[in-house]
Amino acid sequence: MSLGDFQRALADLVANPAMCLAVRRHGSDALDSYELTPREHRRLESVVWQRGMSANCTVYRSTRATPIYTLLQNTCDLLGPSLTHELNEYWMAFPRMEVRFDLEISRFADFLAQRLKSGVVECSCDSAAITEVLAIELARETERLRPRDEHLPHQKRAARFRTALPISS
Amino acid sequence: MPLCDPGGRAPRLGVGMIYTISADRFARSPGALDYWAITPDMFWVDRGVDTESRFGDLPHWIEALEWAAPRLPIVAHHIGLSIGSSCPLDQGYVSQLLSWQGRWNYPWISDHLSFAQIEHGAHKGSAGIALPLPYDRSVLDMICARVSNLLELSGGPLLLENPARYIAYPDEELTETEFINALCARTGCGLLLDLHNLHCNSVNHMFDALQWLEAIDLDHVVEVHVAGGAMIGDIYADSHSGGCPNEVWDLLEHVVPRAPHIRGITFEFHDSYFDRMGGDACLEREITRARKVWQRCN
Ligand SMILES: [Fe+2]
Repeated sequence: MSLGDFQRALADLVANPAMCLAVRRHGSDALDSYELTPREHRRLESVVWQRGMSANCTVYRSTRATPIYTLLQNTCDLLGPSLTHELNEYWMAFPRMEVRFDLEISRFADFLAQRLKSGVVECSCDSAAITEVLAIELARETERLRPRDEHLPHQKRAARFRTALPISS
Repeated sequence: MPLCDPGGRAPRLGVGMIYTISADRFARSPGALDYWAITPDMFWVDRGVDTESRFGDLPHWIEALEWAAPRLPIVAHHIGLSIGSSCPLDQGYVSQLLSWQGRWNYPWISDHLSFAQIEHGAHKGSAGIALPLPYDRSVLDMICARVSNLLELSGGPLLLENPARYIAYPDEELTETEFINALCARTGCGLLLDLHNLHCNSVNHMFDALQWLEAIDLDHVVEVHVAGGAMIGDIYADSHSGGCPNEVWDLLEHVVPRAPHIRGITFEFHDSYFDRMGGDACLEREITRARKVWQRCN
């Protein structure tokens, strides 16, 4: 199970810069919940100090933000500067990325809609307007991301949209 | 039994490009490309391992493949195998890969020498990005067994791509070139040599890319990737955000005449940078330049 725990720990570090800082501060103790060999411990304690680790964290965040920003672009534009805060809140609530774009954006949309409803989103734009645009964009993208075997013949259309591949391929 | 030529019966194709929706017009222009490289994972919806009909075609993407298939070779560049994960390969994904190999008649299939799937108890999750493997003998053994099995199932050719690694693990048992040479020699799989990944690593870890190329067995190279990148903080990243830097063109000039089994050069770019990198004009410029290198050696 050691390699599995090593890979999970590395993925957790990449998704959570605060955890990188904790390993910098507390070393092995911050990795107690993983079953690691001494060499794996040394490797993780080394990588958290490497500048490449910050790049990994940035790439992870941008990979996670891209489907949301690309597919819910108008909603994101309306959120303006508060988008960053809302994404951070979302990532704290759901630390694991959902690789299916339709599931990731619908989960984000539900999360944001709840926050808009409860009035905690600090934004210069009217919450009701954002909620409406969000619902329209979500409906449109859900339709575009619907596989062919779920389409009725008359629903076929040549939709065009941008994609969000992981950064390194 | 390892093959002498990891490209098998695949024809020499020339210069291609990773297909994206934004480049659709360019990709369909007569004579623009010798082949398409596609990421099949972008063309379907994966409803999850426990679902009855797991994979569903995305109509507007499939339409592009249906256009291309009678006109151009299509090669598959997967992102979902996660060949280096500690958890077993996802057999449903492998079945889908094999079914699409038959459906679209790929000359070859490739994926990445990295891991992206992680174990959470009995469940699997995604790391979100491809992460580097430690180059240790036990990892090599694990990947060799998986690759041999995939080669048996698919009949090949199967290529793995050298990764961009932003971090370095201390105490690795093998160098990257030793690891890749051994993997290819033991299994007969080919190398998808990503020259931009190599360039990134040489910049970030301060080594000489030409020395790396001296140490790699270029007989294993079946496909080459070229791309452009950008700085993220102090790191030069493989962001696929523009045209290739001159260093990558220099590496390409070096590799193509020395790689006897090479079948194609693929230009990679990320859809979201299409407009900023100059759209069709940028693609045309990069493809033309790659073609000049290809034609000098073919
Ligand atoms: Fe690549």
